[in-house]
Amino acid sequence: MNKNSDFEKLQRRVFLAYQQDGILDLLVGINATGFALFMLTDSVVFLSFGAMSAILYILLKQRITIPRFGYVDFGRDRTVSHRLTILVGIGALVFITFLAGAILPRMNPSPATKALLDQYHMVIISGMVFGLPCAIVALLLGLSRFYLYALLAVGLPTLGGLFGTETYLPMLTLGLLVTATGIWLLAKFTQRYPRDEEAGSGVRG
Amino acid sequence: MVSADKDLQPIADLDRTIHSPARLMILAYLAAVDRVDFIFLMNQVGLTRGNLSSHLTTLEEAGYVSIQKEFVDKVPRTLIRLTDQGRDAIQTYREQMRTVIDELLS
Repeated sequence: MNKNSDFEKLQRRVFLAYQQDGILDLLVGINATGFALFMLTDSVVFLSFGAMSAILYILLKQRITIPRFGYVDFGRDRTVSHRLTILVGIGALVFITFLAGAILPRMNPSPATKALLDQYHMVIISGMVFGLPCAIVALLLGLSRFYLYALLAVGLPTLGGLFGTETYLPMLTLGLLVTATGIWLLAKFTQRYPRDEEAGSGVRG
Repeated sequence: MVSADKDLQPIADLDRTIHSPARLMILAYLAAVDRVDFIFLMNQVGLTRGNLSSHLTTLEEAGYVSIQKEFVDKVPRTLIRLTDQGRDAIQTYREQMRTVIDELLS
């Protein structure tokens, strides 16, 4: 039995508070924006937003979250199992998406299916690459706003397909919306937890 | 001195180091996670730097927490962790409190 099992509720509350800084939202938003810009320009430079956002995530956590909220080590069990589940889940989804992308055109679909795929292919791509990972994050970390992002990742491309907009537009809208939410949460977080320069020294300081 | 009434004896036996709202909160947070720093506890428990420092010293002297200092990018960081003795003390305290409440309500 986990030594912390009796305090699971408290641990969960702390974990949720730790994720209210909006930095995870920024990570998702920047990735979606980069993906949209890649679709718009065909420039692979924008795909590097993924790596950039990961570096940004670590930097912001170290420079903003920890000095204000404080440092918390949740213990190896929780951290490793969550990271592994999320990584394996997202990896599997990306793999399935690429596999589907490679197989579907070779299956000689009927003209009606082909037309439907042409019109709504972004729903599948966006759903797999952003929707499901957001839903996994929401489920595992208990961050309910990520359910909304998952819904938007499917809903916006569906609307885009219905109205025949450019395929990058729903993705760009999603990216900008999530990034803006991340910035707003980060601003709220910095107001709620102002930086205390002296607090670090603590006991016998 | 607490009443010598046998039924209320568990109240007298309560660990006074833990039986203080601030220290109990500190220990609960430390029991929930692996280790935390001073800023985190200040934010969560809502104590001033001086008060928190004083409570942590009490807990450290009782052997319930261990306190380590380190430097991250030349900035001092105080890390606090619950010791095994502290974990046992919380468990004992919970059992004692349960007994007290059961005794009072029975």
